[in-house]
Amino acid sequence: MTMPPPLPTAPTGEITKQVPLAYLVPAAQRVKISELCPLTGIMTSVTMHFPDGCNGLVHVAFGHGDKWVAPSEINTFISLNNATPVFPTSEPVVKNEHFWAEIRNGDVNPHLISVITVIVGRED
Amino acid sequence: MILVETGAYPQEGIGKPDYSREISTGQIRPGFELKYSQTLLAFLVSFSSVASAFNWFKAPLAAGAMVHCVNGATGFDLPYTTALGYTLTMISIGIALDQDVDIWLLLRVPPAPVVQRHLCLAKLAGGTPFYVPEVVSFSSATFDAEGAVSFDFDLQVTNIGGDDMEGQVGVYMILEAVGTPPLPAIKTVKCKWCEATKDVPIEATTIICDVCSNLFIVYPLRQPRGVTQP
Repeated sequence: MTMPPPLPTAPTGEITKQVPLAYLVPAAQRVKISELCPLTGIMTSVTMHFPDGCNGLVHVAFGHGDKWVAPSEINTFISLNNATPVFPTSEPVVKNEHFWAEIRNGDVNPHLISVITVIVGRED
Repeated sequence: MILVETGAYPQEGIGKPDYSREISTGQIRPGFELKYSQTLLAFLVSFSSVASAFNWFKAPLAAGAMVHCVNGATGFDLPYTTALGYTLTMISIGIALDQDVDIWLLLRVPPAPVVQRHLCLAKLAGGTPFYVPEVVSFSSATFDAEGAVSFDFDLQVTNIGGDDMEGQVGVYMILEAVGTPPLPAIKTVKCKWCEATKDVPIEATTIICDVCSNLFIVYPLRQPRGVTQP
């Protein structure tokens, strides 16, 4: 009997982690929040959550260091309603650098916005 | 998580609270649902020889006398003055009175200087129950769809019978914002015992008067909870 081929595995030492940035932004306020990158590797996706009620009045951007990742153009923002889009990326990242999310709330209501990024890489 | 910076940001429009479609829906009768921009108003008056803490209760109405309905959320007699940017629509009227009665809806629409008769809502023989869930008998949207006019709305109840009148008239209205900021979070209420006024949160219902220390009760109708299922 022939043994089946081994299952594909990630290169030795590589793991996957998620980094969430969530904030309840008060009405007519803007915030910039930050988290440290836990791994050195590749950022594979960025997910943003816009609750129903944002109505395109809440503007979100995500990046790391000086680089804008989602959206990719500098000083641009994504503004949706009742949506949770996932943006695939292939962005090299370094452990302990800062991920940031900037949220601008142009509504009269507060909104809880979440940004989640997925990193595949190594801890050392 | 590190909060790097915060600051002010200019208002660009009016959205809704997160998930408001689920948390603020009010089912007040099958197939009826208030939108976030709508507020329920109750204009009513009850005549009773038994005193009540509810703000719309008055003594029995003498033959030939007229009273205005009461704003159930504040205790003030009508007329009710709409703010700019709002429309007002009647959705139901219920009458249960033991004397012959007539009930008129009056409006003062600028530039008219005083209220004018607009609709006769009822001319009833005493003891005739009456309830109508209105489709559209009165809506200011028919003459002011954009809420560009601030007008006075009045309901006058007249006892045209031969004796003191007991019973109730209740009219429910929807106040709807047409592209304006939300209603203030504070309302001014009037004590039904001593007529002292007081500012309270718009959701307030059972209130102790600061002057006479008596309890009076008003409606908190801004965001009604579900009552019936379709």
